[in-house]
Amino acid sequence: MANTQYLVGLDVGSTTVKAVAIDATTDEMVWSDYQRHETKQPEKTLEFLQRLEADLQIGPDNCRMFITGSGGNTLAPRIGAKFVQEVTAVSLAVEKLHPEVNSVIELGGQDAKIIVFKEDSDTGRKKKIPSMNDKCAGGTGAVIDKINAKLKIPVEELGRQRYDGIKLHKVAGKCGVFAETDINGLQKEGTPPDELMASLFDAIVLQNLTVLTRGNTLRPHVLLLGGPNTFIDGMREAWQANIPKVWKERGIEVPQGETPQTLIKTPKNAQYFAALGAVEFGKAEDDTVGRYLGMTDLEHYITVGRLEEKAASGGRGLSASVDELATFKEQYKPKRFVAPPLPAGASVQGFIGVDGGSTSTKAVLLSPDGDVLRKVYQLSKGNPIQDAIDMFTSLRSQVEEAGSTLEVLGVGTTGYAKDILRDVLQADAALVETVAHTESAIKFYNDPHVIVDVGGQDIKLIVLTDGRVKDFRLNTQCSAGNGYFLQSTADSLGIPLTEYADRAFAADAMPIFGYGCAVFMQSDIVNFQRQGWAPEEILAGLAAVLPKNIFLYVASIPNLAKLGTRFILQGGTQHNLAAVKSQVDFIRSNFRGASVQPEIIVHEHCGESGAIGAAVEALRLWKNGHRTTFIGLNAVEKISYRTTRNEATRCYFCKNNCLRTFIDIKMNTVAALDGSAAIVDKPADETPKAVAAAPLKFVSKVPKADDEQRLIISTCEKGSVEDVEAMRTIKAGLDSKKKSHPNFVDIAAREVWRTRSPESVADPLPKPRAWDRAGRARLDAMTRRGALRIGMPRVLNMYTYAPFFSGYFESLGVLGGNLVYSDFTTNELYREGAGRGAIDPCFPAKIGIAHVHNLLVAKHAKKKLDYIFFPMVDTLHTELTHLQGSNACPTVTVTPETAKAAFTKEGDIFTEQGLVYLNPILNFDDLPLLKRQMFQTWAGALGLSEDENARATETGLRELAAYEADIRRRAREVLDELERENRIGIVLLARPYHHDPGLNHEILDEFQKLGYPVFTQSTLPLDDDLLERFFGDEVRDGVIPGPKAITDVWKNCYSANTNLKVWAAKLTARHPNLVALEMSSFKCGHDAPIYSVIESIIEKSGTPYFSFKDIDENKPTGSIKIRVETMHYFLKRYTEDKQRKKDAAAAIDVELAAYEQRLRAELLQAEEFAEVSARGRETFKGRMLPLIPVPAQSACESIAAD
Amino acid sequence: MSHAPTMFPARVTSRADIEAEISRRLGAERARLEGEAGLRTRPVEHFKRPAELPFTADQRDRVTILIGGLTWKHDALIRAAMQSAGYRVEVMPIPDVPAFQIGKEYGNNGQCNPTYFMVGHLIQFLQNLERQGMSRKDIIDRYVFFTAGSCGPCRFGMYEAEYRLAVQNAGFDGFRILLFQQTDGVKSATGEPGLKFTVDFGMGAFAGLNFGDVLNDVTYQIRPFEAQAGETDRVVDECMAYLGSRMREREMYDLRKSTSFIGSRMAKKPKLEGIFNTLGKVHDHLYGRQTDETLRHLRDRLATIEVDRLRVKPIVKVTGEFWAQTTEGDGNFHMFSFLEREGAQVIVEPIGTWALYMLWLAKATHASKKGLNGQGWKHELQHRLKQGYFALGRRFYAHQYRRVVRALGDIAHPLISLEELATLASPYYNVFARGGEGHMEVAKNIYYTTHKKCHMVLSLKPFGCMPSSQSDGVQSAVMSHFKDMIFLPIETSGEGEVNAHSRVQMALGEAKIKAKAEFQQALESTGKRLDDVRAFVADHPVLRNPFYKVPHRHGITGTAATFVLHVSDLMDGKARWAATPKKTAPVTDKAILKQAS
Repeated sequence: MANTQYLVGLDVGSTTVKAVAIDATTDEMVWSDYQRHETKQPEKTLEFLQRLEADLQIGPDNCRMFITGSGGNTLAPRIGAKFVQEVTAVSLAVEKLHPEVNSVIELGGQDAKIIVFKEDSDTGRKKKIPSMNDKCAGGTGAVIDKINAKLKIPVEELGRQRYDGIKLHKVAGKCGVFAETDINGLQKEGTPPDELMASLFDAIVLQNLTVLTRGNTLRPHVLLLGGPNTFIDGMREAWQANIPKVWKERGIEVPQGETPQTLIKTPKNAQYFAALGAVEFGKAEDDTVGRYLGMTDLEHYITVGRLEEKAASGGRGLSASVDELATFKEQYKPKRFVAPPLPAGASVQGFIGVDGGSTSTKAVLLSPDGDVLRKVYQLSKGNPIQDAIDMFTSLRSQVEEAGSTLEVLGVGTTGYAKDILRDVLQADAALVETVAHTESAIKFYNDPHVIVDVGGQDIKLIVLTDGRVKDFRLNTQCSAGNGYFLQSTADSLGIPLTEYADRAFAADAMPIFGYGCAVFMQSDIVNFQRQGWAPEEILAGLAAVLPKNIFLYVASIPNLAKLGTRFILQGGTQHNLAAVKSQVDFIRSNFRGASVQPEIIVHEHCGESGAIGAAVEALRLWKNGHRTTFIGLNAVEKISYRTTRNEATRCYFCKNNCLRTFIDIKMNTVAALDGSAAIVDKPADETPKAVAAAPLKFVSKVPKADDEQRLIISTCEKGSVEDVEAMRTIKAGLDSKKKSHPNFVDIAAREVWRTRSPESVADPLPKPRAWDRAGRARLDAMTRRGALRIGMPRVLNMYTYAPFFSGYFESLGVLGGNLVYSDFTTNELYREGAGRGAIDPCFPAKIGIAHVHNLLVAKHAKKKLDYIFFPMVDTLHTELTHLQGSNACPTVTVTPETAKAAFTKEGDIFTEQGLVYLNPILNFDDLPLLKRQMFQTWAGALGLSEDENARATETGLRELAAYEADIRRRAREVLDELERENRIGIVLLARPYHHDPGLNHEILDEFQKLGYPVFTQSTLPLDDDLLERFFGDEVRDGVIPGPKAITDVWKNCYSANTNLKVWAAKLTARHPNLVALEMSSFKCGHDAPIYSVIESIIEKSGTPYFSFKDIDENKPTGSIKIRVETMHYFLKRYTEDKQRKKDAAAAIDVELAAYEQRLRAELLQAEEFAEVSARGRETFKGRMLPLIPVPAQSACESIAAD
Repeated sequence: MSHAPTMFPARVTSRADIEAEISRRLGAERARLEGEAGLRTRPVEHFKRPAELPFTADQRDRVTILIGGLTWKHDALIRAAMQSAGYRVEVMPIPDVPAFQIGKEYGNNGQCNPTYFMVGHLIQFLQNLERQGMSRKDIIDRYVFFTAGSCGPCRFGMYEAEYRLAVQNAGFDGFRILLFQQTDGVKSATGEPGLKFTVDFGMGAFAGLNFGDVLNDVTYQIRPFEAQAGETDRVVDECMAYLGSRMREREMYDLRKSTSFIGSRMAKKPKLEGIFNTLGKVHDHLYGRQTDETLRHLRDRLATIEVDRLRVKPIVKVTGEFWAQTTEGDGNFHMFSFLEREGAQVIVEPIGTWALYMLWLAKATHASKKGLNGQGWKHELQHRLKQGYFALGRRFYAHQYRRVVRALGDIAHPLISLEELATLASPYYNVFARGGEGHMEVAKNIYYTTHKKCHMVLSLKPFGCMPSSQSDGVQSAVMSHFKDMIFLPIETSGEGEVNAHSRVQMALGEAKIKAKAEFQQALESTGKRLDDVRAFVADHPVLRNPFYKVPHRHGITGTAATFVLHVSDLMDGKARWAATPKKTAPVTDKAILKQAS
């Protein structure tokens, strides 16, 4: 490097620019700086270059430049720098400056990286295993920024924020938006900001340790890099607190004299590591590489090039032309609500609907004719009860201002606070949001097909068939842009929300946002500002991305014509015309119907549509004769209450230990004012699950005055009381309900693991004693079998084949008690073991590793296991016929291999623990092959002869068949009972391993509690008479070759559980007392191709169909609750309709029987008469026959008497 | 409630008439009452899958077969082979992101990435036809799409249904999706199938696959070292045009036209004619003059590209899911061109490996069941015979592939032994866990690393690919056990190209360091200056011939490192000059050349 005086390293990151200049001769850092670029990457880089030129006189003749970071690639060619990939740069710096380091954790503004160094003992080189976050902001510095924007901790204070010694709370680290939701809740309870921030650090660390390490252990020394790790003490402490726990669990020795603080550290100049590494990279390049070109091109880029880039990357504005916009505005101009005049001095009767939403509360007053008399809206003040009180006060004053008085005939509630409000107000109905929105849409518009409800936090897409909710999508898993996001962006850009649409329409062009993650959209905004996009253009771009988030991201329904033709746009966000226009344009352009155009309507009360639905329900009840239980307007104004949610409210009735909310209401004031009972009993089926009145005499941890009535908000029934005795009563009630409405998901999940205790099929023992070697070997083998302990994970196809293995092993002499299954899947079990996983398949497969972990650390540690047996089931047995195959899903089949890899990659943990891991491939559709596979696996361990292995395999299959027959027999009994009683049962269309309560999130239990028996696709009866009844005609007509064939609906039938699901759907569609609930896991490769097939089979028959697709590790409690309530509501209507039809049919039968009797009498009389006439004609051939009149009535009577 | 007035029958003749009349009237009354009570509804019709329309022989002249999904070279050559057999064929362009978006719009949710690309690709093509003015009816009548079929285990076997659903959703109800079954040949519901396997068609397609594989490999070996940028692509385009036209215009062997003594005799014997005609065709396709001449011309043309092998480039072996590792567009983020732009030399995966895998799997599965269906010498004989057929098939394929490799300059990589791959994978991934990608990805990673055939293995796995994702779970253990391994899995999701490229850059940085260190070490071991080596190469043009076969050095991976060691040996007189294929007389068929150009 003859003329190179300086090597400059630039690191242009998402939030900061860092630069170092190294003297090429001395290798010393002679210049460095680190500054936030405030979204102006090129400007800040230019400023750095100007200063470098001024301070060091760098120029093309004496300087080479190497650039890294997310903004580096774009800038590199403009200044002549060579781009160096960030991880490469960081690794080189680490290798040079800290050769002792084995792991690096770098948290950047928008990315998180982990680099694990592994030394190759042969070459001495260190191999780097890097991993980075993907398209999600979870676990990155962006999450800290987002939360701190809410907590508003000053930058200097944030740097000093601690982790050690701070109380932690449960906060989701997976997503910045979910973290915000958790933090919102905690903040409302008064949790101090430092505890919230420390909890966030904890969540970020756990997120990265479980996901980003890809199963690798972060061995010491660990280097912490990047802004948050460098500048925030607490972030560092969080790593230092959590990484050693992993070391301890995985047996990583800590060098003597070292502490977590010395082993997990932030180095000097941590912020410059990437820049320094870029220089290191440059040293190995030719002298011609990275020659600095000066600033001219960069300056040109800032002034001209960037604008060109912007123009090229952006899209047209929200409207194609002024005329088009005018037409749109004309069509969608919001109808101004003009409150109808009220009769002065008279009493106004009405129904009030209250929608307690997440960000706002809405209420309406409906007349007995269903007209909207008054409405009111306010942003939530943080407490739904207070918000509701305000609503009532406002409505009352609006009426009274008109000189009238208000008489409330009924009250309905909806929204997330509907149950609390119902109990506090003694409202007449609490309607789930989906139903409320549906009722409202139906009230105003004829036969709506799709309701698009965009609220503050939630996006809901409700799909209707014949006025019934068929399906709905809710953004429970990811926030993905919503009304609040539009509002907060407008705020941050200094534009009032009321001006949003006009400003956005004024933009001729707009940036194109990628749909999806809101955190990344936030960073997109930053980038677009950097590119020079104006605020109104950004607002237009955000409005344009909203429908993509609704239809493509949240709903994943790109072909809108599938849903129907009439779309109703509801929710507060629809007040924003820019958002409406983008939705209208999107729906039209994505409507793939052949010739029909969609009809898109904005609900004329879009903000209050939920409240209207609730009021409509109250009105309906009133019309049906119900008289209101509402506490009265005066009482509402006097409600005095207090809420408590802290450690004292935690429930200990089960292992979940949920936090509850106690609301103590001063009831005597309320009662005294209106003279009504404070809490009245609801009909059994309307009693809310999560809210119940607690007994007053119980001594609570949370003190309560005698005149206070306590409402407990909990996640399940048991938590709705404090007293253990009361809980027992509730539990007994639940148990009784469970017994009378069997849930075969639960039954199968428990009973499949029972020991089968078959007869022994082992070779006989030598008698009387073993004299020869073979005899002694037999005795030894049998003794060994008696003591052998075999661990099996309670996952996947073990949910089908446990009876087989039980039959096999027990018939050979292994004790039933020595067949040890891992615990049922729980969140804790998953969290404890999942850290070793390297991939992210479907959740049922992902838990395989956690179950093996459970066998090792829980079962084996307690009492030694000899084997862990996790077979790879390749093909399954099947009752169905005319199939292409009966394969297991490949992900499921191979899970035992990935589990093995997880425990053998850093040393063979099985061997270290003194046990053997066996994962043979098994084919249950090929008996001879199965026998061979079992023999090859167990011959040595069990000392088997081929014959006894064959007998044991057959015994296993017999036990499996017996288990299946027994459960199907019981299912048949329940099915017959349903028919007799004209009730409804739910068929869970899901794979047998979805019986796992940790996988199905116990959703079916909720239905059982509501009184629906639950069947599963693998427990449906297969009795001949049933098959004949439902498939006999089709077999005879040649539509299907047999009753258990699915060739009429599904051609590519080679996946065993898929085939079974299709068949079960066919049976459900034909059975009058069954409805379908389809459930499948996120990323299920074999379910996805039959989604539309299953839906079509069920819906074509008119049978109700509901689904829980994309079930994953997170239990979407809110979504489950809404879904269950929605389904229950419509199933109740469905059952009522069935009963009405049945009654009508019975009445018709009675009527027809009478009619037949009369008819028969008349006709027989006529026949008799005809006979007599004929005989007469015969007798008086050729002569005149006298006519003899016969009274019809007497003939009837005589026939009846006979 | 009032009843319908009772009417006496005009003439009652028997008790049976009365019963019939009662039944009729009761039925009518029931209908009326049920109608009034709202109980009368349409009879329930249960869902049935859509009927499949056939493609029959009589439609061949007016129906165009659509194909696509492989590399552009393979697609073009398969088309040429089909055209030579008299079919109307059109190749669809390489799927892009808009196609992927369309696939998402019309298909089921939750599909794997290749499904979306391929399904959307077909609809995009049909929509373009419609945009050009063709009616939907015409499109449905005049086009048919052929796709590979399979029976599990991943959802690839369900593609067919997915195509059907999507075309139906897109308004092309009734458009024919037909299966080119991996096991059963071409299926058709009724009549003589429209696409029929003939010897000429089969051998043409076989040749097309092999030529495509080898040309692809050769291109990726030459291009990174081309002295003049863009020369390789220009020459290869020419070669492909030439090859396509030669295959299309190929004169098919016909025993009856034979002028040889034996041929003319056999042609007169009806019983033997068929057999000998078939054998003659097979021989002509494989060893005939037309094939030899064509390959020779290609080789000569490619040999004109000058290369500079002293460029130090990390060798990246690309593996992964079948489609993701094959496509050359948005489906894998244009990974091949990206890698080359970033300074890598790429080893691509031939489709031949998949063909061998199918044969290997059939043989291994059969072997695993030995003795299960009976014992004794008869069963033993049957077993051995069948094993022999599989082995013969495998050898034949590999042999023919080798012949094409040799004919095209002998620098393309031979097909890997599937037995060796199975052995390498076994400790980590059960080779009978079907899917192909699973154990082969693991095995290839070990194979290419331990044989020092590349500096880095890049596995392209589409979002949602089940076997490929599971193999990735196993690769973490493999990487721990083979410390010098650089392995990078990339999930191709249709979006996020920049992110994927960044990850590749990250691993490629490592591989570059490894390649550079190796080269530096090799150069130092020669004791020569690089400039001296360059000068020597400049003086000897043969060393710049792409087909100059540099002898392999044990333990050396990089092209430049191997080359510098060889040149040093040449300079020192320690090595012999390797042979370069001799240039042959140019092809005389001017018409073909003209057409090709």
